[in-house]
Amino acid sequence: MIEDALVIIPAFNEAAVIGDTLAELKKFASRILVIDDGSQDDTGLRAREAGAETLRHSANLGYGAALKTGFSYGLRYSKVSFFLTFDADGQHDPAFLEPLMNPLRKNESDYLIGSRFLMSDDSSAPAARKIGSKIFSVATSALIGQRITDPTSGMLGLTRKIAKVFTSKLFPLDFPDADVVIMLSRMGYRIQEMPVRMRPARRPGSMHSGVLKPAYYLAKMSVSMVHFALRLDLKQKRREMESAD
Amino acid sequence: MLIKQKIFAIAACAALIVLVAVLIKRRKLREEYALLWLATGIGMLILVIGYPLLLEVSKMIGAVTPTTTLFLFALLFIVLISIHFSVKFTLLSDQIQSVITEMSFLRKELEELKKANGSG
Repeated sequence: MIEDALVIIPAFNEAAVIGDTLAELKKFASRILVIDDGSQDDTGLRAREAGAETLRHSANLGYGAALKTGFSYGLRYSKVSFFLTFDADGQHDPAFLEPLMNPLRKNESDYLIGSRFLMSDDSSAPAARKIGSKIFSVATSALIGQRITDPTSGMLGLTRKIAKVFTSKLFPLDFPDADVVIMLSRMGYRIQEMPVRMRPARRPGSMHSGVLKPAYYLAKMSVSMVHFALRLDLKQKRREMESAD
Repeated sequence: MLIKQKIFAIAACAALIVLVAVLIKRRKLREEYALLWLATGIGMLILVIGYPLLLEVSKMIGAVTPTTTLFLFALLFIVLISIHFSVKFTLLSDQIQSVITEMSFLRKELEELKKANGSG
């Protein structure tokens, strides 16, 4: 049972599946925080009924903003040493959270990415998603000089220091993915990947479904990645943040 | 520049300046947002009234007719104003995010207080 990490779950209109996701997750982690990102259904209520701490955004702000709220809350109200992020739709297998924690506890890494592509038998991701992930994987690996196979993974483990970075203005409020990996690498943090198994989501659709949304995501992410790759002040930003502690 | 063009341009600039002044007076537009609009109106008015200056500027930028210069400057001002608004929208989005985050914390604290007092 993980007791030294707060598991943050951003959720938007996940009332149908959040109960099952939390019931399974509670066998592996004791501290769970659900951010109901302005859902129009009973996501928050179902999460509370399932025994998770719940925060509710009064408007839908997006995945990154929900994560930011979770990290802000964790830093302010809890003393946990680590944070984990987890999807509400049941894609993530909570059995892989414990292995994700090990490098953090041993202080071997600051930021852990749960990679579905390090598992040889992974076939759950849709083809379009696999292609998109591959493009971002190649671009991210080239930009930071370290092999990253799944920079868009939502299953992450991180330290309080990283959480503090994620509550700053540097953190993207819509889709924090590959750009964040580049940002952290440029700041000098240690990034590592661990194999995890992903399952099909418990409900159809995703925040990147449709035609316009993926196109916008691709364009926005490309700009954001180039932005962080070209910034020369990120190590200085890290020093400023750490000296403010 | 034809006299008709000149009269129309002066009237348009004057209308813009008066509209901005009225909006500021009625507190429907804050002074900080009005600055660029006022600068646009006054700048265009100076170019229209000071015709030799308009000719000089046209020659300087390689415009064939003075009206092209006016349109070019009008377009530049609109681009500047759009960028100004984009910056403001970004700032507002950040502020809204902070407010909603704080609200979610307060709502949770309130729920816990109510529960502790047995009224929730």
